[in-house]
Amino acid sequence: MVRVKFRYLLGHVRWQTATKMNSLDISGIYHYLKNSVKLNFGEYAICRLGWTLNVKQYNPLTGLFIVRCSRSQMRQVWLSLTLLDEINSQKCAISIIHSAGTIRSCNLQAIKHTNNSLLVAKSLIQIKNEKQKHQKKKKKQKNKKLKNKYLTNIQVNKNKSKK
Amino acid sequence: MFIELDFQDNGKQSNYQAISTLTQLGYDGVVFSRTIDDLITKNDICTFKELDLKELDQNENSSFKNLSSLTLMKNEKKQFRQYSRLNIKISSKKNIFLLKKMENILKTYDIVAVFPQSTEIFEKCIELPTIDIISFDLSLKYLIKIKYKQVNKAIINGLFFEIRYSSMFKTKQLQARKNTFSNAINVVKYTKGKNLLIASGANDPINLRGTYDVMNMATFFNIPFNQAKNILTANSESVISHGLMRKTYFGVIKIDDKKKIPKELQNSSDEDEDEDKEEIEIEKEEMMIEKN
Repeated sequence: MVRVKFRYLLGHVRWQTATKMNSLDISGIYHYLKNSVKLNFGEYAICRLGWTLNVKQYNPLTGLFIVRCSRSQMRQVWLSLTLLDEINSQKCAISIIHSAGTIRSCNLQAIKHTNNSLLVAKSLIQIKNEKQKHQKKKKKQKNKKLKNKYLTNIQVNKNKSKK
Repeated sequence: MFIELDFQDNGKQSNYQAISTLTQLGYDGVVFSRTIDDLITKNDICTFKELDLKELDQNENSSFKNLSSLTLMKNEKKQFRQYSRLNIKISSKKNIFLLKKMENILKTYDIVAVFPQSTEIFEKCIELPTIDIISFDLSLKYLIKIKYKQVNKAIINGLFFEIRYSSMFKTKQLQARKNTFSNAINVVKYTKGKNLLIASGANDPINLRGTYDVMNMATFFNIPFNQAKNILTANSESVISHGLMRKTYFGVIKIDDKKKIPKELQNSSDEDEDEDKEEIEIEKEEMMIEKN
């Protein structure tokens, strides 16, 4: 039987300033996406997409989202996402990580992507701890040297007083 | 090995931000560039120093979104490479002789690119040996007249042509976006996909796009999908090797700093010298024996 087939695109949004856009919703992304398709490819492209264009998931903390589109129009939707410049009068950039036929494989790739960024954060924390250990070692060595100096001075003074 | 072929050099901190975003997007190298109008003087010697990437680890003010992928850099085999580049805009016919005369200044850069503004200048730039890339300003309405014979001559000499996509990201000037599309398709038509490069001449790291996004953009310039990956990986490395040949007298001699040699090999003596010394000692012993 002839079956309608879709493509799900995993995308990542990054902003110019590091502010968190809590006011952005799924409907906001859909609105801006539709406008960019209309601008670049015309109204005929929107009519070909029709009801298949949809934004399924969006995470404002990490910036990952999943978009559904029909299989024949995948590249046009992809280009209109890369050429998207401004959202809510703030500059942004979108890069697409993975394209698949089911939502489940997109979610698995999203887990891998966050694991990589967590590894980077872990390595930074390790580097911080190593630095602090290194600084503590230096302080201990300094304190030891000062103690030895005091001890030698006291012994000399004792000997002098006895004489 | 994806390499980003054009990024404006605006100081140390902007370069650090650029490197941190590029490692997220999947690139393995960067070329930092600088632009000049017409005249080349003695003050244009390359003053680019490679950035120490270990300082990125020590920056504690990095936010979650601009983290560098430190796993890439910790593997000593995979290092993030940095090169330097010069862009020259030529608008008058009299200044072409400077490209031949100022050869020693152009040799300090890794890559040299030329932006001709008329067809007569384009004809004369094809036969120059001190150049790597010919590229165009794609946001103008009327592009230079290109001819098949001149392009084929340039490809035989080993020159490359370039497309820049940063002028598409200006939403207030929609005319620039329209012009880049039509001009880029024109360039691809005359070169037929040979010796092509795709780069972004960006000032901000926001205008950079990932590797697969650029490959998808290339399919809309009528480049077939199989060639699109070759253009980003193989051609970008061949440009850098072409620049090395230009610098080092066709690959015969190369001069390097002493710091780049690893410490184990710096003070090593040759085996031939040891053999000569042993022979001299053996001869001395024989002389002593003969006397005695």
